[in-house]
Amino acid sequence: MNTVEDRKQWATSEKKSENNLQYSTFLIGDRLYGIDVMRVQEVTKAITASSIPLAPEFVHGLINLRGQIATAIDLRRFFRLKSQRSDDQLNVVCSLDGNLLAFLVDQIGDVMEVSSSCFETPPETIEEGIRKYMSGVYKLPNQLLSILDVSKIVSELNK
Amino acid sequence: MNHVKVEPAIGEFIAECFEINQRFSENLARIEQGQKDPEIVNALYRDIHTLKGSAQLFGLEQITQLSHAMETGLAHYRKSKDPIGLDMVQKLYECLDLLNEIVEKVKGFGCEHNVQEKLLSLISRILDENNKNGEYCILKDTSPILEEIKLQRQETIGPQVNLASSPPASVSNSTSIGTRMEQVENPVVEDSQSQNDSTSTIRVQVSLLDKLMNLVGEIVLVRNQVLQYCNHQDSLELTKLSQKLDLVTGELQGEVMQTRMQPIGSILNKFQRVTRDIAKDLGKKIELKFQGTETELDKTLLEAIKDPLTHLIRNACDHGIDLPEVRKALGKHEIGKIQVNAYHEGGQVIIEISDDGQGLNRKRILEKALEQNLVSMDKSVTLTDREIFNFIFLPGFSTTDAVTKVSGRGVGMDVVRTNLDKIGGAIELDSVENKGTRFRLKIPLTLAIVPALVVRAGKEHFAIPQVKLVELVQASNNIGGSIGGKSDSRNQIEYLEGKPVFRLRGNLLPLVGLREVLKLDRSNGNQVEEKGQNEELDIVILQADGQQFGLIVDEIQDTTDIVVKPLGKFLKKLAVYSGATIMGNGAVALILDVKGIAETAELFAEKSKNKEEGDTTTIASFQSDIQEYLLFKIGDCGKYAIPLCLVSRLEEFPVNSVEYTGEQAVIRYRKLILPLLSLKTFLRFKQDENKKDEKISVIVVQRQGRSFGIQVDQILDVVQVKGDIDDSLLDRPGLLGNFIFNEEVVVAIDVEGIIAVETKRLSKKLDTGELGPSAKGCAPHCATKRILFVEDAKFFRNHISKTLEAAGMSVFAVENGQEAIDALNENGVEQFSLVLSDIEMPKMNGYELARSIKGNKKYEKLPLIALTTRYKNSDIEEGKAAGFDLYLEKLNEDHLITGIEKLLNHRKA
Repeated sequence: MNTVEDRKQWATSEKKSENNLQYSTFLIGDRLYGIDVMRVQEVTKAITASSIPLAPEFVHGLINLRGQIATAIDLRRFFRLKSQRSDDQLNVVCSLDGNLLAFLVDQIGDVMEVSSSCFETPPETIEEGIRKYMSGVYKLPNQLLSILDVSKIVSELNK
Repeated sequence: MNHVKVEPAIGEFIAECFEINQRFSENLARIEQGQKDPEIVNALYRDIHTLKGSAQLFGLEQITQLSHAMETGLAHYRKSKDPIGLDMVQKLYECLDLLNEIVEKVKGFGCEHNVQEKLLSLISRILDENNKNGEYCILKDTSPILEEIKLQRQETIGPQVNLASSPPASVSNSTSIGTRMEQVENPVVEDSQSQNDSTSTIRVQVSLLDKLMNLVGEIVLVRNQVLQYCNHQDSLELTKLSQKLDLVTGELQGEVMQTRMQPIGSILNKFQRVTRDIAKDLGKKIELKFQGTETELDKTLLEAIKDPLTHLIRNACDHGIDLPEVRKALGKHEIGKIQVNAYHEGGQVIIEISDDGQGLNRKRILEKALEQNLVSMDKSVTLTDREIFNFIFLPGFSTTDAVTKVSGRGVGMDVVRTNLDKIGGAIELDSVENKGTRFRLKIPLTLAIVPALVVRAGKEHFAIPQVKLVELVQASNNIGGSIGGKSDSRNQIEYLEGKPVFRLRGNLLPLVGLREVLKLDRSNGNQVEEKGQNEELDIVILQADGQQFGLIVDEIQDTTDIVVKPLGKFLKKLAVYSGATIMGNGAVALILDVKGIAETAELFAEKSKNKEEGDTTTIASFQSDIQEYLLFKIGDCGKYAIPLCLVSRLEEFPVNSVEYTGEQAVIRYRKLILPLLSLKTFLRFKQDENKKDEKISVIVVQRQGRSFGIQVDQILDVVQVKGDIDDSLLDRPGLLGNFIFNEEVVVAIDVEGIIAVETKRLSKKLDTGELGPSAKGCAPHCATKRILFVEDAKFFRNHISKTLEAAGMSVFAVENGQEAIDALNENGVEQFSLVLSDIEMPKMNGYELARSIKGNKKYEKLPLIALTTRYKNSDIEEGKAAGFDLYLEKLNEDHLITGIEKLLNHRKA
């Protein structure tokens, strides 16, 4: 298990700077996304979920996280992405307002520390279905990192 | 009471008491120093008034009495503007001390202790002062007097210690004065108190106990998992260890639950008094007996059943027990008996309330039920006694024609059942005419850990709380088979108009498949059909709202203790689940909500329709997720929408048919003059002078019995929108909010607001208008009740705001009259549907606020409700004179909400 504490320690030992933000990154298909590292409680390997009949399609099910129940959200379905889903999806667990949410992702990346100088708001051309959950884009040397705002996702869910 | 538990609401109250105490003594000190600002007296008066109100809410008699006396004492000075004399200040200080003493006890023991003697002597002194109002000390040469007071204080503090009936926990109450004068004395007092207390009990926050309880829940789950794992292992050592774990966990669970337990007697005892009073009022002789008062129940549950029990006992006194003469004639003992038994049974606490009175009148109830269309004539013949008796649990059902002081309003039993439902309990009732009635309440021991039955449907497992379970049966399937083929049709599922039913001891029970309700593998077809003929099906008979039905499951598994975990907020909309739990094998299982299943499967459609007719339909239409909007364009920027339910017709008129009366554009329309409102003008968009269309599109809207034409540029479409509209971004009045449709932002228009503004403008100009029926059953987002709530006491501000919000109203709370006026000026009067105001407030009080609202042309239509703890007739008169439409008590939440709704509905009509 890859807890936040581990990764945070690792990140701080690598380099430390004041203004830069740290993001826990992951892949869905070939797209790179990031969530504010402070929002992430932990990352776990695939856990069998029990499905919830009658729930919206993007609700993957409920998982047992050491005695706590987390609702697994299939981000691919939530964003209506077309790419093929991999078999062993990892859970990025976030705790919000006392609710545990586990986002299903294909691969987990590093905790990245990015400088605010390469930040940009998402261009208007991006589909609304994703854009409304994005707080911005970081231009990394060889790829782009989309930052997801967990609270926006949660408020959409609670609607 | 060994465990000191202060619930959050009373904790808030206590905190407020100390705050007020502090402020009060500061203000007294200022008077003592010779300041003569009348505002100080006002502040004193306000504070003590607020305190009185809060104390009343919690039923703290002594505080109420004392603060009332202080208020009365101060009232004179407040009116006459005479300076407060030093001896009065002294008396007030003494009152404050006593107040502190009582509050300290409430904090420590959760109830008031008897200081009645002291209380009465103080009260009489205060009131005495009020009577001889003319005599007061002139503020001159204060220092010797102060010295004297100091001495007096020391004297009074001494006896206080001795007099206190309980361990001197009460002594620290002298702090407010103590800190002021005798700071040295304090630490000593404080010390002795803590020593005394720490020997036997310690005070623990309830929240800590809750946390402990949660953790124990986790351990229980882990224990279950370990035990399950051990069943598949051969290691003897592991088995031994797991047994130990099992034992310790069970004990731990019991003990931790114990910390939250209180004997039921603690709430029952007050009913003796209630019964005696009612009996006296009604001229009856009633004896109330308890058994099993030592039965313990979780504190939160105990709180929750307090109201239901009150209702039931009052009902038993009023409806149950008959008059002594009648009893004699029937050969019964003159004294009616009400027996309350509490005991444990099957992991639940059962409370039985039985009386030996007249029993329920079956015929009368049935008549009433027919009268109120709760049941059809033909069906009524087949109803069992129990089904008929269950009608009394429906809202608004009362067989008493006259509303008495005690009961008969038809709310009681409904409340009883809803309250029990909330805590996962159930109620049953038996009655024999002229022999008596017995209510049986089944209450879970605790909310956190409940016994449940685990069933399987498809691949998933589900838990059903045991309280809702009636029995389990197996039945063979009889689909398409000849009934004659089997001799025993009692154990078969039969089909009535294609719907499966089951005969259970002569009664027809509707059946529903769990898989169908949950829409599990629908492709495989009907759950019943899928199983072969003659194969046994498992049916779980459940009880919801007093009705029974059978739930067909694929497999009935085990009964087990489950720990209820709430579902995420967005899953709460799924009515069929009440939570989730972790099973022994570590998998997560959903807990079924029996009532939700019955509703989803529309089992009791006939009845629920009847119940929900009328006002609830309107609520449902704006609570439901999907709203229909009419989409149109105005100007060049973006799309706009109004709720479809407001639209009565869409029309196109040639431009040249527009005529004018004065400056108002009108159109002759079906022999009426239809005023045209241009949204463009109202929203102050740029007018496009160049563009001249041949025709104009008009949305005809009916409001307040009058038709209006709303002129738009182009009508686009009707769309269904899910979810709420977002009202965080509004750049001008007349807008309701935004929502997203097809990746586009659509702006919702506040038609009602606009019409309200326009009507006022037009009311003088237009005298003909269509008098159609007002739009009914249509409550769009704009109808949301927005309430401007004016209240200076923080406690009430929070408390009542929460209450109103829970009732689906939106609340804008401000602290005094001046702020309320500011809010009206800033936000515009159309933003508020009603003003709810306290009376006693700093800066601008309720009367002044009412007068200035009613005095302002712009605001005069706004309904005003006074919310207060003063409800003397003269106060009500004064309030009415100031312009309040309604006078409501702060303490009665139900009245408050119904009062608001009535007033608003009345206005709308």
